Amino acid sequence: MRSLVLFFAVGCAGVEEPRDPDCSDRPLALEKSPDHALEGSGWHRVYVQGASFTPDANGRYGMAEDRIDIEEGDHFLLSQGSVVEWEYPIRDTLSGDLFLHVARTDEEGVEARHELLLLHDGETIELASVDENTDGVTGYIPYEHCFYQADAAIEPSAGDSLLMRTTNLTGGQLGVVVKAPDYFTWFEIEVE
Amino acid sequence: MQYKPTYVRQFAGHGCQTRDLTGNWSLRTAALLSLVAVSCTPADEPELGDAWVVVGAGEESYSELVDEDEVPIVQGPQGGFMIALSLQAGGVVGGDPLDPTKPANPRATFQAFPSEDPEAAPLGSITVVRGLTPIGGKAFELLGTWLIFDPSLPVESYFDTDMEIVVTLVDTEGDTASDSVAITALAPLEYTVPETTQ
Repeated sequence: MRSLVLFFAVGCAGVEEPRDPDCSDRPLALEKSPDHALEGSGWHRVYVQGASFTPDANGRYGMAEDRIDIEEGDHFLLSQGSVVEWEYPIRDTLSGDLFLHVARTDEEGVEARHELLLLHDGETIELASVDENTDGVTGYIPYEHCFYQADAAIEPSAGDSLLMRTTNLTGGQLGVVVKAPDYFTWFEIEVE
Repeated sequence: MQYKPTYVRQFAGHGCQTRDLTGNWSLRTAALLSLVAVSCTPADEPELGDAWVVVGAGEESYSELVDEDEVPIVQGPQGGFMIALSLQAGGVVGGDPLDPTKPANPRATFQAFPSEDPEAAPLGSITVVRGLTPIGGKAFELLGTWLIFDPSLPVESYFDTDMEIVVTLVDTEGDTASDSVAITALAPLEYTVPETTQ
């Protein structure tokens, strides 16, 4: 697995000039995988399932590329250290460029960590991570962040999957929102 | 907090047997001593290194739970309903209770299943990745994990309902322990009906 170089598009001291400070440098056309696993060149949008979706034995929720397949329900994380995770299989090589969109509610002072990880051969490998502590009031205020990988290619093996995780770092009110028709949580990722 | 090992729950099948020691003594000695001992055969003794966990309740202090206990449901600030759960554990890497980002922190998943249909989808589920607080005797505890009931379910699904609380603890070494207890979750005396999400 080649090492990954992350360029944060928003506010990291000491990092090169952001390539895309407003995260708008993404194709408008999105691809959809033929099966329930990330496959096919282009950008894909992957939605997270809501709390009504039955989690697996590990407590992880699924994901889907079609909003019609998404079950609603906000994920409430109140305790410090509480996490919610979603898993999605991958079949094609990923460039690693990623755009994150988290619809969430929180109270002022709450800090969340949003991560994208690769589950590979029994290991959990971090692909991207951002800590979010933007001041907010309870309400549906989406958080957006983009990552651009330089000199990185993530070649999956059979059985690999992506894991998206949100952690409440501080405790306090934090909700990841999944509510039709307007409030979904998702990421877009480029498949080579 | 006194550490109270509860091996019997975790090591089902490793039962301890009661032996009457007077069988090998003279009658006078037996009359004087009348010893009855409880002992475990060496093969049944739990190893100190084995991972174990016991589910309990409580937000700021640990409260042991036994089958048929009642646990009050509280309404949270965002309108949802929840119960405060805790655990005690041992034989695991405890991590750092002061830093939720430490890679060595173990993962604990609490789930609530309706007793009348244990195979049904959980009424609520929460996973916490957090360091455990040492409490002495090589044991740890984790307090105040809020299990929030699925807000898409009608409150009748969990108000005054018998349910099985299951906890699974996994540390970074891959050591795993689980425990369960049957409780009744009591509806709050006062609450406001939340807006439905669907």
